Parts: sequence; C-alpha cells; structure tokens
Amino acid sequence: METGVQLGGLYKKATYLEQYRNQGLVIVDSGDLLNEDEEIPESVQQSARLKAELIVQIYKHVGIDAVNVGDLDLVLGIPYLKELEKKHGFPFISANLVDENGAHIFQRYVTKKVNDKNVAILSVIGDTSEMTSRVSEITNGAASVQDPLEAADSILKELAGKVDYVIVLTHQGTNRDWVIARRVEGIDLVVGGHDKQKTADPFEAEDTLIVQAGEKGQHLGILEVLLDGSKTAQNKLVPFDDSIADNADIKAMISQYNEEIAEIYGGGGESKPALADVALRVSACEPCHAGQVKTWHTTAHAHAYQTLVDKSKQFDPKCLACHTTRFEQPEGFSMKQQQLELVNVQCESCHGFAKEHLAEMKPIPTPKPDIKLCIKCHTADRCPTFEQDAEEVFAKIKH
Amino acid sequence: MKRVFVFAFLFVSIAALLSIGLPTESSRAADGTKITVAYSSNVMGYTEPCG
Repeated sequence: METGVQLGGLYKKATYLEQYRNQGLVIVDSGDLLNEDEEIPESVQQSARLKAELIVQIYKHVGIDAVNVGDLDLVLGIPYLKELEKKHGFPFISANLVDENGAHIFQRYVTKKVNDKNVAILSVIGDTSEMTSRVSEITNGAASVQDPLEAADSILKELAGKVDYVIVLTHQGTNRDWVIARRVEGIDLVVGGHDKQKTADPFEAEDTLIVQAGEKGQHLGILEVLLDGSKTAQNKLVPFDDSIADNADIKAMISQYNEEIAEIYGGGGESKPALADVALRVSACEPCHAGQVKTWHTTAHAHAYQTLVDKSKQFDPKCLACHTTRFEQPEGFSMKQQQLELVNVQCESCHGFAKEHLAEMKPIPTPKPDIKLCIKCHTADRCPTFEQDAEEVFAKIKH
Repeated sequence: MKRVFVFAFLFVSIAALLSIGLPTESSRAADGTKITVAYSSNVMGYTEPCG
C-alpha cells in the first residue's frame, strides 16, 4: 500500500529549473495558484493572504512569466490580487475576465523574447454557466467572463506575424481545451487547469498540444520545443520527490511564513499547557467506549497533530484541516482558538459531532462512516492506493 | 597609405564574414531554436507537504 508518499515543495521547483536557465526558459501557471477553498472563513483570512503573498514571492524568485487567474484565486478578492500584482510586479493575465464596465481587469497577454524567438502567452477562464455564475458569485458581480474563443482569437489576430510560439493558459477543463485548440487558429500549446489532469503524454489537437500538470504543486511540467520549423516537442511531468534538493532561499521563505502564522495564531508567546497534559476530547467517549479509545491511541490518527509539530506546520490551516477534529466547524478546532483538546483525528472526525450523544444519549450522527469521508483527507494524490487497499487500511483502525 | 589599406582590408574581411555567416552566429541560431516551457497547474496554495 502506498501511503505517506507526499510529493511537492516549491523549493524543489527552483532547484529543478536551474538546469534550464540557458535553454530559453518560459515559466507559466494555468491558475488556481493561490487558494483552494471556495470560501475562506474569516478566521483563516489572514493566513490565506499571507500564504498567497508567499507564493507570489516564491514564483517571482523562480522567474515566473505569466499566471492565469483561476476562479479560486478570485476568492481572495480582486483588490487583493491587484495589490499583489502591483506590489510584486506579479504577471497575472486574463484575456476574458472583465469588470462591470467591460474593461479587462488584468493584462490580456504578455510576450517574451526567448533567445531569437518571440513567445506570446495569453490566458482565458472557461465560460460554462457553472463557471460564469461562480465567478459572478465569488466577486459579487465585480467580474464577468467573456467568450474565451473570441478573446483568444482577437489577441492572436493582433499578434499575427509577430510571434513564433503561442501559449494559451486556460482554466476550464480539458474538454474545453480541445475546443479552443481546434477552433482558434495559431495556438501552439494549451496549458490547462481546473480539472487537475496529469498529462505525461500531451493531447494532440492537430497542431496544438494540450498539457496539464496535476495539482498541489506535486509535479512540474516541462515541454521542450524546437522552433526550427518542425516544432518537435518533448514533454515530461517531473514529480517533486526527495531526489530533488530543496532550494535554501525558498525553504527560508516558507519557514518565515510558518513563523509568522505561529506568531499570529499561536498566542504570541502566551504559555500553553504541553499537549501531553491536555485531556483530549476523546476522553469524553472513554467511559462507555474504553476499548475503542484504547485502540484509537495506537493508530496514526492519534498522532496526526504531532507530525505537523515536527515540521513546524501546526499553524498552517491547509494542514490542520486534516490533522485536527472538525476543523472550523461549530465547536470544532478553530484557527483562532487553537484548542489542543481538539487536535488529532479524534472520534468526532469520523463519527460526527457528539454533543447531543454525550448530553442526552442521542444516536451518534455517523456510526459507520463511509469511505467517502476518509478520502476527503486520504486523497488520491496523498494516498494513491487508499481505496484499492481499503480492507487493509480499515484493519489498522478496527475498533 | 598603409593604414588605409589595413582598414580597407579589415572592412572587406568583416563584410565577407558577415555575408557567409560567422560560425559563432550559426551556433547561436541553433541554440535559439529551442524553448523550454515549465508549467504548473492547480497549485491551490500548497507550498510543501504537511507531514
């Protein structure tokens, strides 16, 4: 069973790209770079913004050329994205996101001279009814989506004869990528996003290649293209594993972020009891379920928080969501309160909020949790064979 | 007179080299035909694994 294999680390990106610095390097991202959540609770706003700025700084350090704006990036707020753009000279682009007056919110495209060649990079977000209503809802009507095909076509007509290679960053899913690749003349490469596909072998829509690099910064796509008339291309998805060294500068930037959020959410030096001295919430279950609680103590669920402490990640909401009990739910672990009695994956994480069960002996909400609940945290990217090995996995926590 | 001749010779030589293409120019053009696109997608705020 393949568990505990966690790829990723933006510090590996910087290391890996060094070998390409003199090889006409263009660095791009197809969107949903800065945020994962459709709503950001007020208590997590500050860390979410700090995290977004950290990523912007890391991408600038690496030498990013263009970043599409995804729907989840918009959750941070257009004014904040514009602030990051201005403060860090960050190259957000979008050819079809417009404001209430129909004006483009971000640059429509960028061009880059690479060796002797001119490369154009433009970007679009999808215009399905789902995406357009989502963008409108997220931005409270401050942004709307224009037709991506018309937006791309219009730019390509402007650039006709002036560029040697055209990259379109999309945020709409692979099916729509095929449409734009086939219907808009002059696109060489579509770098897709939104549906989290991993394309080790690019799709070929006639002369246009379509690629996507998975999710969560676990892989980096590298496409080497010969612009000698043939446009011969070689693509690979590079997993960020331990074979790639960590870049010290970026590691330090992430450590500084961890320290900043520890300062904000950790009580600023206010003394807290040691975790070992805290009575966990599970102790309320113990009088009637002693055997089950005893078994729980032997599982990885009972040590989930410590793994974060060991990596100084215990204040990162991205991590706490799966390493605490009922993260940011009513009377669950909250960023503001940092209740140590609710750390680890305790009974209520799987069986539901037990308040009424404890007070009035009402039935527990979820006596037999479905595997769908487990895979919210044991996702395919973290535990690739979790569902396949379900029997073996459940044997480990049988109680 | 000799100086004029030297300059003239240099000028003609440079012009000749430019017309046939310098070897260094050729290799630079060959390097210039390659680009490398490094792309990421759906990073979603993840900077490093949690544990």
